Amino acid sequence: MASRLARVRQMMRVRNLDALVAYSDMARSGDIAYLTNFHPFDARMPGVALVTPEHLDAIYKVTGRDLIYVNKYVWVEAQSVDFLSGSLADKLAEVTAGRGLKGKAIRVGLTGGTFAPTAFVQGMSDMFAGGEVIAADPLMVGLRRDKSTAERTIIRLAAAKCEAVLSELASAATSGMSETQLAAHADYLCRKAGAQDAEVLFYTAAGANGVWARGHFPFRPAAERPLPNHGSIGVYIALQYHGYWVELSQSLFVGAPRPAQVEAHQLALAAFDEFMSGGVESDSQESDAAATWVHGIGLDRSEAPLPTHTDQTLREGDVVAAHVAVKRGGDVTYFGRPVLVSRPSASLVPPNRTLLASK
Amino acid sequence: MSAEATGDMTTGHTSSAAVDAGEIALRHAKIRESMAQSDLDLLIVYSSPLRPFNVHYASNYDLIGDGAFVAISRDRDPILYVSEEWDLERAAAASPIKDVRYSANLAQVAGRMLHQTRSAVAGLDFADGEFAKAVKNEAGREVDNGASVLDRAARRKTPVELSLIREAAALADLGFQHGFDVLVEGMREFELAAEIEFAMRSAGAVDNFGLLSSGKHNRVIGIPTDKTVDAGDLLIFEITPARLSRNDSAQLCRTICMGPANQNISDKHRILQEAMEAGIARVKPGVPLGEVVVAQDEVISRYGFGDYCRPPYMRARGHGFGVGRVDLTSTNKQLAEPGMAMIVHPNQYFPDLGYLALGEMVIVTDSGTERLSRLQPDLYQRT
Repeated sequence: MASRLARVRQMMRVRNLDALVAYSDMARSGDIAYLTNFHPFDARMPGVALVTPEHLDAIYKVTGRDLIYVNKYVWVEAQSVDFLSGSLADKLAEVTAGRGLKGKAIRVGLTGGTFAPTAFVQGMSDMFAGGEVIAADPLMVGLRRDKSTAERTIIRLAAAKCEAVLSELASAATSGMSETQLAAHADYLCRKAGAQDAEVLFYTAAGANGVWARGHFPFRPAAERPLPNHGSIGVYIALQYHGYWVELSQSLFVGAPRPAQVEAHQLALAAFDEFMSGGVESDSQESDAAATWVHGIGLDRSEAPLPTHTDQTLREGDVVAAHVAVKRGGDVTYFGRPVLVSRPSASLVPPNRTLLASK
Repeated sequence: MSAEATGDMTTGHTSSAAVDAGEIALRHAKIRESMAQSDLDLLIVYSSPLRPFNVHYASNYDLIGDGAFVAISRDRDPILYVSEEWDLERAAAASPIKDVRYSANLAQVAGRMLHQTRSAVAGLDFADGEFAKAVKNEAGREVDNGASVLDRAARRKTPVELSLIREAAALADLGFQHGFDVLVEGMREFELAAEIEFAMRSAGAVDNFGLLSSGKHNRVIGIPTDKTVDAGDLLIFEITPARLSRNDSAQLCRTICMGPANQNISDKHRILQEAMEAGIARVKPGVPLGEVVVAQDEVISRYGFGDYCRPPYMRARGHGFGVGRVDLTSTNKQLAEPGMAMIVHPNQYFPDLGYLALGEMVIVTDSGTERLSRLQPDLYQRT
C-alpha cells in the first residue's frame, strides 16, 4: 500500500495535481481497490478515495454495520454514508473541508468521472469551485497497468487455480449434461478453490450466439440445453482471487473427438502460439478463419491495455488475457489464457494444452 | 436438533412457470396501468450492468453487454433495444418482445424518445453519468425519473413471478440443508459457501447473493472468508438464490451452532424466533410495512435489547428483491399488498454473543402470509 501511494503521489506531482479523487462502483472497482483494498459489493454501494500529499481518505456508501466489517480489511480507516439516502459528494465535501482544501485554488484530478453519477461530478465542481477539476483517469490506468511483483504473484496463483478448474471440469463433464449443470460445476470448482467470485460462460454454435465472434465477445450465459452431442462447447471461466481477476477459454469436445476436432484444437493452439511468439508486437487479429482478442486483467475483469477495442498497443510487462478462435466448418474452437507480455510472451502458468473431451 | 426439512425441497431445473409472451404482456399491462396513474404515455425501462434486472423484468432478456432498454408506450407495441449487435440474436430468442433492435447509441435513441412530454425513464440512476447526461441532452428537456412508476407496477408479483419466487425459496432451503449436511470443523467459510451455492445452482439457481460468517462473536454477516469453522462457532447465513434473475430471488436466514448450544445462545435465538413470528403475524394487506419492523423491535426490546435495534446494529428487518423491492424499515408507511414478496428477518446483534440470524420469505396473501421455507425456524446444531 505504501509503495502504491508513493507512486500515486509521484504521478500527482508530475501532473501538478494537489489532490486526486477516485470514484469506483461495483462494475468498475479497480481504482478504489488499488488505493484502499475495497471492492464495492453492491450496485448501490460505490466509494471514493481522496489522495493528497499527506493523507488518504476513503468514503464508502455502506451501512454503519458493514463499515465495521469493511474497516477490518481495507487499508485506511474509512467513513461511510448511508447506501440508500447518503450523498458521497456531501461527505466528500466534509472531508475535503477537514483537510483544509475547501475554497482553495487547487488542481484536483478525478478518476471514474465518466461513469460517476452526474450529481457527484457536479458536487465535485461545486466543492472545488475555486480551483480546477480535471479528468485524471490516465494516471490510474497507467499505474494499474504496471503490475507489481506482488500483484503478479497473486495473478499467477489465480491463474493456476483457473487452470486446475478447467482440467477438473473437463474430467467431470459427461455427454447428456446440460450447460447449466456444467456451469454450476465450474462455479463450484472456482469457489471451492477460494475464488471470491466467478463467471462461467459458453459458446455453442447452435446456441443463438452468432456463428462467428468477429472480434466480439462470443461467450454467453448457460442455457438449459444438453451439451452438443459429438460437438464442442467453448468454455470461458473468469475467477476473482484476492481481488484480482483472471480468465481462460478452451473448447471442450463432447464425446470421443473426431479427427477434424483434433485438427481444430491443434489449429487453435498454433494460433495461440503465434500470438505468444509475436510478443509485444502481437495485436488483435481478425480474418475469415481466425480471431484473437486481448485485454488487460487485474482488479477489474477488463482493464488496460485494450488492444482489441482501442488503439492501445501491448508493451512488455503487460498482464493480459489472450483468446484465440479458429473457425472450421460450422464450428469455432477456442484457446485463451492469462499471459505476461514479453519478447516472446509467456503464459502465467503452464497451460494444459491437451484436448479436453468429456466422457 | 438436526436440520430437518418438513417437505420436499427438491426443485427441477425446468420451471413450471414460463416467462412467455403472455407473462410479458401481463407485466406490460401492469406497467401501463402504473403509467396511466402518473399520466405517462411512454416509459423507458433501462438497465446498465449495475441493475440488469429492470430490463429482465420487462423483457426476459439477461443483459451481458453495456446496456439495454424496453420502450413501453400506452398505445404501441414494446421495443427492446440492446447495445451490442453481437447479442441481438440471443436477445431476440430470449425475449417474447417481437420488436428487438440493436443500436450503437442507446443514449441517442432513448433521448429522442424522451423528447416527447409525458414520458419518463426508469433505471437512469444506475447509468454511467455521461450516458445519463447524453440522454438528457438528446431529450432536450429535464427527463422525469420513472423508477417509482416501474416499482409500483412490479411490487405486486404476477402468478408466474410468485411461482419462481417459491422455487427460489425451495432452492434456498436446499442450499442450507446441503450446507448443514456437509459442514465439519476445519472447513473454510468459502468451502462451505461453495457447497451451498453448488447445491442451488445444480438445482436451477442462476445466481446467489450469499453471506456467511462464523465465529464466537460475529459483528456482521459478511462475505465468506478463508477462516476455518471451529468448535463452538456460531455460523450465520443469508442465502439468496435467484431463479431466473435477481427479481425472482428468495432469501433464507439461519444460524448454526458448531456443537451443542448453551442456554444463553438458545435463549437469545428464541428471542429471534418470537420476533420473527411477531413480524410475520403483522404482515397483512393494508398494514404499513413499518409496523412489521415495530412488531419485531418490540419483542427484542422487551428482552432488554432495544439499544441494539437501531444503526449501526440494525438497518432493516427485511426487504424484497429486484424490481418493486420493498424495505422493512421502521418509518416505512407503505402498505402491504397481496402479491408482495419479502424476507422478514430479525437478524439481531446481542452484546454478549454477536449476531444471530433468522429470517424467512413470505408472500402477502389476501388474509395474511404464505410462508415459503419448509425448514423449521430453529437454531441448528452441528453435533
